[in-house]
Amino acid sequence: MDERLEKALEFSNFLETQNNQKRIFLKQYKDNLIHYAYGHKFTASTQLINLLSVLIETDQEQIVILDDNETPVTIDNPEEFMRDVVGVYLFASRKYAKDYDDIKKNRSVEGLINI
Amino acid sequence: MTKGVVLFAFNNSDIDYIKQAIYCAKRVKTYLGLPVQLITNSVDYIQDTYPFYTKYIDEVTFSPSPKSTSKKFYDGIHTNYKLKWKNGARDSAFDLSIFDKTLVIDTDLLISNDKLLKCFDFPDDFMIAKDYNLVNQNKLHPDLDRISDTTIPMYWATILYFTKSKTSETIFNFVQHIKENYNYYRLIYRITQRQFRNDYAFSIAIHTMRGFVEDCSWPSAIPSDMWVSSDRDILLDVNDNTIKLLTHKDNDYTAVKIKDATTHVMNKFSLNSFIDKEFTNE
Repeated sequence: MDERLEKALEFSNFLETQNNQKRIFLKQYKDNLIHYAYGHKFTASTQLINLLSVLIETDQEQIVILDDNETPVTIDNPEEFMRDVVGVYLFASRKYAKDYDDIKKNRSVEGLINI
Repeated sequence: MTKGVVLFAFNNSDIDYIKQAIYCAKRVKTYLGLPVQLITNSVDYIQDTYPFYTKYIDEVTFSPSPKSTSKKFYDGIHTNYKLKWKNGARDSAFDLSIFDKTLVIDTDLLISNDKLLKCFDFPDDFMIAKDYNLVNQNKLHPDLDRISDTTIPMYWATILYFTKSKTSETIFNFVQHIKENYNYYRLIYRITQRQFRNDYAFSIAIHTMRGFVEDCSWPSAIPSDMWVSSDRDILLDVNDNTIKLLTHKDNDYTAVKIKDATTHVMNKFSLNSFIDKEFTNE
């Protein structure tokens, strides 16, 4: 095989592996954003965090929010719930950033798979 | 309330599902710390061949082998074998489980985190896996979203959770009825595959029990991730919660590494080869 073609294919193989890993990390980030509480499923989105923040600022002792299935859930301790949700968000986003950073450092298929 | 994991294993001429079940149970112990019940027709075989199994499996329950069908099993893109497939016993989980709250998983599921423990915190009587991620992100698999092109959403019997409740009993009894009348349901739901498949039977049961609609939040999805690699992919190595695979793309493979992700490995041959290496230290 012509060396120029071989190099181009090697790069293509590297990029494909890298893209696959990037997509896996993004999916894992989205999975890790899910918070299960009170038998309900919540995504620790910026929207949910903002809503909780506003509701807590208005000194609500009990709040009602919708879970991911749009079922209403009464939260008796909004501050504790907010702490949990923010914790989930911080863990997921930090892990994603670290995974992504590891990918950027590796410039070969072997390097990517031994991340 | 007792809780635990139930596994089913019925060997065929080439695939040792018992071996897979012991390895699966080992991972259950590591990541979930739950008791494991194995339902099988090979009680003597497990005792004679894998005497160390008691480290990981707490209870072995005999069940006669379900009727077998013929299925093509791939081992990567270049090799396949037509073998007997005995997957029709899942509907007996409700009657045979020794637990009040039961998680049923496939023996080729590599548990890599503790997310499945969340099931036991839910008030639901029955949950089943619905969402999945493909390890091979370069390939689309619309066939895994619905049981046939024009019909209903697919649920994965790969991971099931149930309590000993009336609702669960109704589901399992109905799945049994679907199994007994599979050709009828296969035609109604336009399923091209002739072999009975648990995923299809549970999907049909759910669709029926929720009033033949899709827009319904029952049953809850299993609160865990499930990554899927097809039997055309090859498992290279598993090191604790890190899994390395070659995923297929046309006539070639792409290397993939996945960490902290519960993964359904459909290539039984490469899984069994890996387990052989793993068990040399047992």
